[in-house]
Amino acid sequence: MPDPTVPAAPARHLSGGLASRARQQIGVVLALVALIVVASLVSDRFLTVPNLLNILRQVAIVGILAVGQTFVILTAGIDLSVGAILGLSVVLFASFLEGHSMAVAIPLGLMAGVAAGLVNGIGIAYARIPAFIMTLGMLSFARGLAFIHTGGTPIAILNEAYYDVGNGYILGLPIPALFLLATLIVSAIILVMTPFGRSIYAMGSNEDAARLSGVPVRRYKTLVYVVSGFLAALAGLVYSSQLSVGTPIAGTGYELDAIAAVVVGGTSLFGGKGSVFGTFIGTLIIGILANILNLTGVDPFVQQLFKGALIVIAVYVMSRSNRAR
Amino acid sequence: MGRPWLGRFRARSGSLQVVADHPAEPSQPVSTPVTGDAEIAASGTGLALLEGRGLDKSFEGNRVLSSVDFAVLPGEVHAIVGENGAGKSTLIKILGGVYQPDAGQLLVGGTERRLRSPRDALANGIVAIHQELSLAPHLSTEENIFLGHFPMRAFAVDRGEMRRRTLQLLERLSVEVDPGRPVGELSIAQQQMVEIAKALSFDARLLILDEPTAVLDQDRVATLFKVIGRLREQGIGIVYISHHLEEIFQIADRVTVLRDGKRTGTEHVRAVDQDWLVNRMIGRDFPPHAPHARSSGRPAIEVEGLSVPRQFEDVSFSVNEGEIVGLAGLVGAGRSEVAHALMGLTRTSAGRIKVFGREVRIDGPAAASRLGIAYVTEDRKAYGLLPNRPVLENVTVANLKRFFRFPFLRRRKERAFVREMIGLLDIRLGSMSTEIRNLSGGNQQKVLIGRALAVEPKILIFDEPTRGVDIGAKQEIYAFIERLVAQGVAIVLISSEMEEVLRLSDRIIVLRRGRVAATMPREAASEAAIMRAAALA
Repeated sequence: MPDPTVPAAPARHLSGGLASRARQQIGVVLALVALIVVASLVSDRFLTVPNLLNILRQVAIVGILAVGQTFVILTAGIDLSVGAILGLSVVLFASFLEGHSMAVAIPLGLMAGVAAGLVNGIGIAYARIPAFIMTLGMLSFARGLAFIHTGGTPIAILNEAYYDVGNGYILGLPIPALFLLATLIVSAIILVMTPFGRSIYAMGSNEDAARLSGVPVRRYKTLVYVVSGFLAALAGLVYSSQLSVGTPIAGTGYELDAIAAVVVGGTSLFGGKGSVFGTFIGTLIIGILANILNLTGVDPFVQQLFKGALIVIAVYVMSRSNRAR
Repeated sequence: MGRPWLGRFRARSGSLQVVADHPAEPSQPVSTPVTGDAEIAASGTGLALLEGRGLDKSFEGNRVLSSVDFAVLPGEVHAIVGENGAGKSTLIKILGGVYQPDAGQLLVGGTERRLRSPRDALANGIVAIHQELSLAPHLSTEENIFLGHFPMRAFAVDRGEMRRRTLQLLERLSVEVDPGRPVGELSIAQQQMVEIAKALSFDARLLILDEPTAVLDQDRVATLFKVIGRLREQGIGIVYISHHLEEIFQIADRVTVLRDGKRTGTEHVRAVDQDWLVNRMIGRDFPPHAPHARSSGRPAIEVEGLSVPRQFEDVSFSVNEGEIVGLAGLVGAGRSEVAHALMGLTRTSAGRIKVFGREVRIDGPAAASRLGIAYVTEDRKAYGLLPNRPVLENVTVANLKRFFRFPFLRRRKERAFVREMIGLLDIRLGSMSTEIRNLSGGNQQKVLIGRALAVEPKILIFDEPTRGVDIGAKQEIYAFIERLVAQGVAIVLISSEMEEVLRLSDRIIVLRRGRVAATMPREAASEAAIMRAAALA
């Protein structure tokens, strides 16, 4: 009799791994499918190519933020400053573009996000300030910088090439959506296939055990907030070019939308469990819901109620099905 | 580190019944000296505090308990033993109202009852006390005891009455604990007493103690046993679970053995011996222990005058290749702290560490593993497991570099290594993508040993390697440690189990209050010698 306890073929592990991963995600995917079915019944404009592309463009900004948030939440942290970092980067992009080319302005704006993330990371990993507090402070600080820099008035962006970044198409796909997809793919590869990604899950699952196993916890933790800050600035790039204006209030409250997308996507706030794929689905669920409500002409104030209810119900259903297993 | 609690937690020896190796006849009507099944039936009719008849329980088609009979009499300590997975926890969860049996009956005081919840069990005088205590750390002792049933006067808690009754309960246990102190500031042993007092405050007549000694050191075990003795005198029935067979002989009146969900025997403890227990538990023989060849390797690690403030001082020892050095001592003597210092988790204030003759500075676990030092922690839950991650990741996390070739991790190489570990350590699991929290204690421990091996250690520190591990896995881990040492690995073995230290070590270092109290070669070592060095000033 073959020993059932020692698995023989690698193929079995692979399928086992994929199967269990699929099982974790299935609830979220089913919810997305159900939502799409409902949406196409409610509005015949929903399942049209322009509308679907429109959704992708609309969710790009929050989607990119949510990917960065996923890195952070996987380590059992939280980043409340992403909306404010987006706002800061937006005004910086706009003002750098006043005297410089895109090749200069874009890297500088992105660096601002990296710098803010680095400060977050150092405060959290080395000074051991709770992530909630550190990033709450950064939220206020970055927003303050954005206001100081602009004196409170938006800066217009006149660079036409820059306008295309947020509004153009490549191969029929809106460029912001391509940014989102690229972010997703690169992030998924980092999380699944690199020591950094693996260590993120380990730290989120049990930080002390990870440290004792030789994982450079402080360095990687810092890096996670740098990733989040960088992606916030990248989202700011999309934002500022879509609107062609650098307004200091850009992204206000987006951190909560990003967290919502991560959580609806099945990533545990306690860390160690989740994926950017789930976050993408979560982003789509929230985006599609908003889209149907728009298409059917629901009052924007009422839309807020739907979104709030969706978040709570989604997480409730998921925690139930987790327990059932 | 001082021990401020020593003074306050002295049992009043004057009023204590001394629990001898074999308990005096319990004062309650136990003893028609029949044995085995007949007795269960006999005692079941009305005499038993709690009786289970023909208890069955399955989970997802897996039968974990099949027609088990079990009864506890007033004033008896009834031990349940068995390997992990034998059904002990399922049985006590049924007795405590956590699970409902699929078939069979529960009788409380001779009347059939359904215990639908722990609350139900409580209402019937049954309280289970688990290894993880369930106290509110910021509330005081008395508040914890009376949480949920505070004595009231009008609309306020009657604090005077609460204090009076708390002192009464503590008196009953003959323990001294400050009733007003937050429970979080008490030692684990004291917290256990608070749990017991809390159970008594609900008029418990049956206590289920699940591995109460797992978290205690030797002298605190003695105190616990005295308390158990007092409870027995007062007619309280006690269900006692432990991995330590010698404890059964010290404290229990009867013992029930489970194997694979079936009862393989119930006997008066004085009628049986360890061999009987072990045979019923495992139903298989272990290969006799062959001492490994004596080492003649060069020194692998030399520790000279190492100190960490408030933890240990001036600790020196060395371990050769192919040698096991045991670190013995009471809990709190500083053994794990020495290991932590060797892993670079704490900063040393004095002393030197040499690895293969070269003086080194170890500033963290990564540095330690570069030097070939690995550590298997005593506290799997806190410092070992990545609970919700697959077994594979739990193994390879310690040395991701080994499985990394820019830019990606080599899954195939990882899998090959983990498969090798699964074979080598005989880890039983469905697949390596199983989350580690779903494995038994023994298999979890083996996975963590596999993790240590991922750094190809030349020096391996085992801290309580068989804690919370069943007998079968324990023997396998011993055999495995001996194989490692035969291959020339230098091993530091930290253990509170005397038998383990004596069996495996070539030399034994005894720590007492953070200092080396004695060093003895295997031949000169004995349980008595170690105990004397560890516990006597």
